[in-house]
Amino acid sequence: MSLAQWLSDLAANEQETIDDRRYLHAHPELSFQEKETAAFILKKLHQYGITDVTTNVGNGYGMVAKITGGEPGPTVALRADFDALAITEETDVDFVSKNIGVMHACGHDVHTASLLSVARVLQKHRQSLKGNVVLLHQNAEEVMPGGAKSMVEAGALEGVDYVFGIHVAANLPKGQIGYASSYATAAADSFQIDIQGKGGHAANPHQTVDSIIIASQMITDLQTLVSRKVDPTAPAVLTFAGVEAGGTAYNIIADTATIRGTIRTLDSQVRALMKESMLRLVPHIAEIQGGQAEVSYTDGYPSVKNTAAEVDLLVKTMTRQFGEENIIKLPVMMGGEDFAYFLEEKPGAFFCVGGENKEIEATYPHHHPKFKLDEQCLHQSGQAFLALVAQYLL
Amino acid sequence: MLYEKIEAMLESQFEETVANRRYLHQHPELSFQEKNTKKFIKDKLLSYGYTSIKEEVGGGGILATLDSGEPGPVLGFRADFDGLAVQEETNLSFQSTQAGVMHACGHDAHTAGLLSLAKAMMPLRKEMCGKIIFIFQHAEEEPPGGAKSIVESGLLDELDAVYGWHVQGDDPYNGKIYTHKGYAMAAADAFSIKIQGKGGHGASPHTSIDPAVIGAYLIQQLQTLVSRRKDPIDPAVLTVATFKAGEGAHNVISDQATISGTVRTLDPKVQDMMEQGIKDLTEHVCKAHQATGEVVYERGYPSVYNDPEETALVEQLFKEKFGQNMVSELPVIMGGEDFAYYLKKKSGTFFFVSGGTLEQEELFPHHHGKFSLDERSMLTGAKAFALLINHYLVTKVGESV
Repeated sequence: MSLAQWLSDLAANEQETIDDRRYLHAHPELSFQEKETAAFILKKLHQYGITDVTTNVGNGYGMVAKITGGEPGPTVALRADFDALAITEETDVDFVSKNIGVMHACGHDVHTASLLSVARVLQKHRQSLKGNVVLLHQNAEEVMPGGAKSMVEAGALEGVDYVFGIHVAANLPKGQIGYASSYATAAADSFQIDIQGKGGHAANPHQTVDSIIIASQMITDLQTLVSRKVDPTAPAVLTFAGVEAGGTAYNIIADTATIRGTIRTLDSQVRALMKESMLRLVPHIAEIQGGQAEVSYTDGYPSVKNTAAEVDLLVKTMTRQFGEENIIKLPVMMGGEDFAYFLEEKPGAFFCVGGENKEIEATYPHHHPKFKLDEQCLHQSGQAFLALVAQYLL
Repeated sequence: MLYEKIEAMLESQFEETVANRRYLHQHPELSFQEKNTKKFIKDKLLSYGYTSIKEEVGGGGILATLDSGEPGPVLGFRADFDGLAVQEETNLSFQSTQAGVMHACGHDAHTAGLLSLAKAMMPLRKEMCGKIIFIFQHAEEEPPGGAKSIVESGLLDELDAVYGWHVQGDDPYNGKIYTHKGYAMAAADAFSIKIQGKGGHGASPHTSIDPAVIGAYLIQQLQTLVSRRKDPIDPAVLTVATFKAGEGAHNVISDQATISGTVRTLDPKVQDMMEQGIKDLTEHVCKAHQATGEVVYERGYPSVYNDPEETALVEQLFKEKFGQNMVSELPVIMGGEDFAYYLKKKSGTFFFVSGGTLEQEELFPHHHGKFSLDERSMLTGAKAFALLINHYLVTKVGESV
């Protein structure tokens, strides 16, 4: 049995795979509410003869299925998320969402249908596998805390040696594979600072503690976290996105002020340094002026970090499969992805499959009501996963 | 002495003065909307025998002239009569019948006090020389105020001096007046600054120009106008009252930030410096950070400048009559008063009359819903004016001092 055979089987099933994807697209469900979607996936797995399935893994409808190979060997995990977004679809496709106000606007329907198509092929050829395949059908990627972390904590990666995930990309031309050599996404944390001063009449500053002065001092002082405290070769972003200080009167010294923002880092130690510094410095800066400040800090997903050996293998495999001209090295993407939690446990990689096509108006960004993909990426994702598994298990 | 006669009249009229004040207190009207108040004042003046009454002066003021018929100085005395958008919570028997409007600053007392003086002087006009112009002014509380346009009407050009008093609610009534030579109350200006940056994704600062950070630096730098640029002897306040950027998202660098606040100064040269300083710093700090900034600076009332000699005269006259410890120094007030406009054209002084009351067990500040005052302040204020009349309008005619 060979990869060529696998790919041929995949192609033979292409129409059913497209139908599956379109069914999922028409029946999107929000994060943590993907009941019917999970039932659909389970039905399909059983249909293909995959019976080693654990449902409700972690904090929701996530499931883990295992295809045991004919001979011993490594275990490769493949992940696809299946939740949708609170967006009202505005595309012109026949299979538009029937669930008003909910839409698969990020490609998770494609991820799920392509993983099912891969599972079908591998199950059929499982005797020739020298090792095992684990399917991670993951819930709730879009909404914190996400499903990945809880699935890891529930043991989804036990016995797994490598884990791979794909994200289809509407800003990458169809036919192309995009990868990052190390960090693929940044950790995205957010914070709110609430400052308590002592307000009063604008003409009597000496009787007050001016919250706006404290706020502006915080914003300026904390610039040095990035400029002076972080290793210059380690990227870090501290953005003060919102400042709300004072009401509408021009002659009142503000009693309180609120600052909101986000911190983006790649390296987990830099991430911890930024958080610890904010929590420690913010109250001090307020105290210097005689006020108080509190930080509410929300940890986002960690950064996705691909492991070096697996990236190498990925690039070689994809180059062989699709041609050098179709393999694109990507800069770090700034959105968050909870696939990061899988990579914190096991080596592997997260990479992109292009789905952009100007001719069919598949050019809108992710999370846009007109988000669309060229379904070639559905097939190419399946090919990419099969090529990777072949590397390890054939 | 003329003064004794005036004082006797004022004291015998006190009940009526209180009644007038309480009527006004019950029927407060907002700045530029004092229709019935004006009618009340005019009717009272007519009933006192005044015929030389000018109305709607400068858009709302009332001037009543008492002419002795003899040559002599012309003195002006001013009282304001507008109320505030405050809900009264004093529960006084004569509390405001107008929901949401209150005489919460004592203007009712100023007006009743001045009416009482006008009434007292009518029968005594043959015992003085020169003229008195009683100035009843609208809209003190709300810029542009009434004073400026009354002055611009030219109808006060003949004044030799102008005086005004304000009730001081901060301490219980003690019969004292408070004076301050030179700059006594601040000019109060308002400014707003708009910083135009370039918005973008919160994770890509290099593709945007962040107005929140620029605003923070600008606010810091504005502090140096007070801490470093002005003469330490000159009082000045620069308060940034609002600072806003962004629309609620955590992860978006906003496109614009806005800052607004107020500047308080006494000396007009310092006021000019602050305005120019805010504009210069805004332009250059924004430019240094690749952004642009726009300042809108609105001048409020100018600072109140009390002529030192007139002020010294009031102090001396009051002390001689009522006691050496009955005049105290007024600390500089950083709030504003449009009486400043009269003093820009004419010599004179603006002083405060003790008038707080402990009826409610606690002293509430001016503009507060529970603000209240001691009505004896009206007598004290009128007497202080009477001392000036006696000083200026009697020396050549009538009994010798």
